Amino acid sequence: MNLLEVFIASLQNLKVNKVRSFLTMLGVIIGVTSVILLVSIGQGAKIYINEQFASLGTNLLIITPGKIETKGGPPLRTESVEKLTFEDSMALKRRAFLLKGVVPFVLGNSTVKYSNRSRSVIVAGVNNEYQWVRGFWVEIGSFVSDDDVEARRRVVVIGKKVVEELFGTSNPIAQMVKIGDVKFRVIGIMEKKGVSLGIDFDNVVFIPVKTAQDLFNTQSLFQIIVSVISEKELNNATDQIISVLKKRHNNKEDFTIVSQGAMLSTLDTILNVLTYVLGGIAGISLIVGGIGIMNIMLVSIKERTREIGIRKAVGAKKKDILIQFLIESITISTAGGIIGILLGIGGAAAAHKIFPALPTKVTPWAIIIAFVFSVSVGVFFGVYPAKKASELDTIESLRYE
Amino acid sequence: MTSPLIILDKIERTFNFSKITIEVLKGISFTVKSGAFIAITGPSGSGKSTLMNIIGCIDTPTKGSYILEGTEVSKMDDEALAFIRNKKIGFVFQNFNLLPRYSALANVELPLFYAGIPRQLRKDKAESSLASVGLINRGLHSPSELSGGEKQRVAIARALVNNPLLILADEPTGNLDSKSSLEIMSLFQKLNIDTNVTIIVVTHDPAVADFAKRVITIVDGVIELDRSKR
Repeated sequence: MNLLEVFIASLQNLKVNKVRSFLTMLGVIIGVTSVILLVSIGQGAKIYINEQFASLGTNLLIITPGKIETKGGPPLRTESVEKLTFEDSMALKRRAFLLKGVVPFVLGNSTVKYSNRSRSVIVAGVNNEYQWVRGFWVEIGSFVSDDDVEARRRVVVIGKKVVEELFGTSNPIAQMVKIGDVKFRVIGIMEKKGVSLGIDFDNVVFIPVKTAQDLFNTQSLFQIIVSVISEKELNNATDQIISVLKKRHNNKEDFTIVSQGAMLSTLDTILNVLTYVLGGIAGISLIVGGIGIMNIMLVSIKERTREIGIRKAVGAKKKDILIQFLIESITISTAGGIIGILLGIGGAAAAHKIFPALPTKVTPWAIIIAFVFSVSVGVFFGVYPAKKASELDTIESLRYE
Repeated sequence: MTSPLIILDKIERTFNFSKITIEVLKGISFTVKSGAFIAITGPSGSGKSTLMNIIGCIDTPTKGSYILEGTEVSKMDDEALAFIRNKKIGFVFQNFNLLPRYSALANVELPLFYAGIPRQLRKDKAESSLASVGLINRGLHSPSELSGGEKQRVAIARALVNNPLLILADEPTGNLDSKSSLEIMSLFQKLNIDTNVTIIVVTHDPAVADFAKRVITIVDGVIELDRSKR
């Protein structure tokens, strides 16, 4: 028996009941489309996050006050917390020689006013090293200098979006703006950076860190961001930071050092789990599609009982009948799978077009898995009806009306 | 003297239903020589169709021995029986049993398909088989476009296409008018004479049985009369 001819015959059979065949296929189409679409969204998000982290620099360590348990359970702040101070950052700069740059960092929200316009912004208190530690540079004018920090000067470097909103086309350099109720002089404009990890860097204004402490009425730092001389030294640098800061904090390790890599791998894990869960849920609809195939095959066998009897009378073996109906169900599921893959790829592209913030990435393994799965659905849910067809009694089938 | 094509020895067939057992055939024995033209007659429910199904290898006897061409077939498995149905036996049914969505030609090709014959050869053989029943230009018509007599000719062409030893016809004229019936029976007679193929026809119509060279009458599962002409 020639399998190709059986396949062609099965196509002809599917053509006879076009609408029914299509509706049967639809279950698989929807299943495969959603698997591809959801997995590609999950993978897109993962790649997007990876890129974002890479753009922030991979040799960064972030020191936050308080000990955060990162292993098991939700983050938990324990014991009394001694705050990180500007002096801590200075100590790191002096003693931790594996660090290339140290940025004492204060963060807050405020409004910036210029004449009658105002805008809500993120205010970041930094020192001069912030620029090259983060790879985010001033474009016009100058950035916050170490002098500005020591002298607690009220100077501000503003982001591109803030410039557009408050100044329009006029030159903001040397203009006075109000942050909260305090007047600041604009000394520079940052380059365009865009949104990264949910923060719109063009909507940030930078002021000297000590000025920021005054503005927000605090003695402590939000974070200390450090860059290590090379990625290989991340662990050694971490040890150095711990030893320097412990000495200053009564020998207590009441701070947490997070590397970009650690955060990235945590996020990676979360996104992978999310992808699998989404894919799995979509996979359930594939199984439902398979049940639809089984149902239709059983109906079809009932309708074609006579045909089965005739085929057996002229010499078809049980095996021939089994293969014939199995190929029909596999044809339905595979055709559905192929259409679903195409729709999934198209859908992923369309989703990215409609929502540019939603990155999608169609991975080959998702396509392969979806395809293999749809073929298997045809086999799995086709075997029972096909077996039933092959075991029909010849005489009774010939009499069947 | 060659050995007979068919030897039936004390064939019994009983059907078991949940509460009752029905004995349909109660010990049928006869032999058929190659080239015979036999009619099996009898009233409804006499067991003639069951006998026919056993001879045709789509049913197996409960007891007894059936030797076809020197081989015992009553104990064969499905695969072996399918092979015999395919290569050695051609069926003709009362209600034609053509596949409605297939052309006449494709219907005739069907046994060749299961015999594993390549496509082109299949087509050639099916066409010559259709020609031998007088349907040269009807190959591409679907069964619904053919008359009853033509449908039965297609069925006969299908039965003949694998050059079987034996053609089994179960009430082949049951759904035909008298003119077509006569044509079909004449066709059987001609085939029997021309190709020496063995033909067994099951019928309750004496006019049809009259075409055969030997008539076996079955009543209540036993042979009542076995009569050869001349």
